[in-house]
Amino acid sequence: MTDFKQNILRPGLVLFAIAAVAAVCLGVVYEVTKGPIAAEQARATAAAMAELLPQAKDFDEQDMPLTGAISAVTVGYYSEGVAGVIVKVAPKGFSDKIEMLVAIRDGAVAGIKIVKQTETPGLGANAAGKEFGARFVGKRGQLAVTKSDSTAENEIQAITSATITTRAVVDGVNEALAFYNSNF
Amino acid sequence: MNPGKIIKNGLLDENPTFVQVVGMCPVLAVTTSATNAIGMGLSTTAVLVCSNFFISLLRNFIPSKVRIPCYIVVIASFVTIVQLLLEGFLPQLNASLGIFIPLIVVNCIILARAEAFAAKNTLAASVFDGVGMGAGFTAALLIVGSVREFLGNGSWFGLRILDSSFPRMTIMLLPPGAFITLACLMALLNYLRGRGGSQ
Repeated sequence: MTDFKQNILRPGLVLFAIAAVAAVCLGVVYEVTKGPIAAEQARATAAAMAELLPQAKDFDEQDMPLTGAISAVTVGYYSEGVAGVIVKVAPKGFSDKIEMLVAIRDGAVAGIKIVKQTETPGLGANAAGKEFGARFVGKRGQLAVTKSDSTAENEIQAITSATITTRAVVDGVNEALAFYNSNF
Repeated sequence: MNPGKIIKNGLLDENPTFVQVVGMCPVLAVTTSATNAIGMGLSTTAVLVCSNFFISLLRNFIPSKVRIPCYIVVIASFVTIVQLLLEGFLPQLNASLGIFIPLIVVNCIILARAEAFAAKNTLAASVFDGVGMGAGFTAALLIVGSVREFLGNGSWFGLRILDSSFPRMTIMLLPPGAFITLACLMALLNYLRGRGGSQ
């Protein structure tokens, strides 16, 4: 009976106690941080939208049927009408979904902004940099990935050793462009 | 207990990267630039110090039969709490270090130190061990990252050092570059240690 107590009951109870305390702590921290995290994400999204369509004064999230990886569509207005459309899309990247905003004006990409990603630091994570985003500006139609210097109008040069990430971002932009073309 | 000796142990004698060769995944993945190396090194140090603290605190309470699951629960919960707090209250810091935190959870240095040191030593000694090991890990990452960033991109901490007309060794930024750099540094370190007559 002491064997049972020493070898099974006590280890089991201790492990249970530690797991229970950990679960309570995690639950409390999650509840406490839920609000600030959501507020911070909303603030980051608003800042990113303002950066993508600097001339837009008001943003209005559209209530419309969404397809595939697209999770939100926002129209930006300025004094003379529509400044552009921002499509939020989350294609599957190398390690997880890459959440990004694609701003489209008159059927061409006005800019892209990656708001959340967990790609490999130093390689795929470079996709969030300004230099890579600039490769998309002005592109329209169906885009393709190339590993050499992009020559054709619709080609995007891949990030060195991050082809999968590049492909994911291009897929996301393509999906946003296709959605724009069939809805606006 | 001798804090100086414990810290030196982590920095040199049992350097996690160059001597113990544990936690190689982040070493290979994030050392493409000196900035990334420092970020990963400091985040790991912070987690290591705290996990050593908690494990040492609980060392007499945890039965040895279930110690590994207990350590994992403690470390994983602790890291998740840090991640949530950073995301919620320190968004600036989270933007620069947040991407490294999921990598720390799977870093075996944390568990290795919990098992090899914190489970058998006093609270203060365990904290010093965390500082020493973290410093050793950070130093190793910084050296590898500096070499790779300089040779692969001609820059250091993002500052351009070589003119863009110099050819870039892109391979240094790819995983093989990490292995080549590590091998050269380990060979150098072993040579220096052997010469000191410690063997």
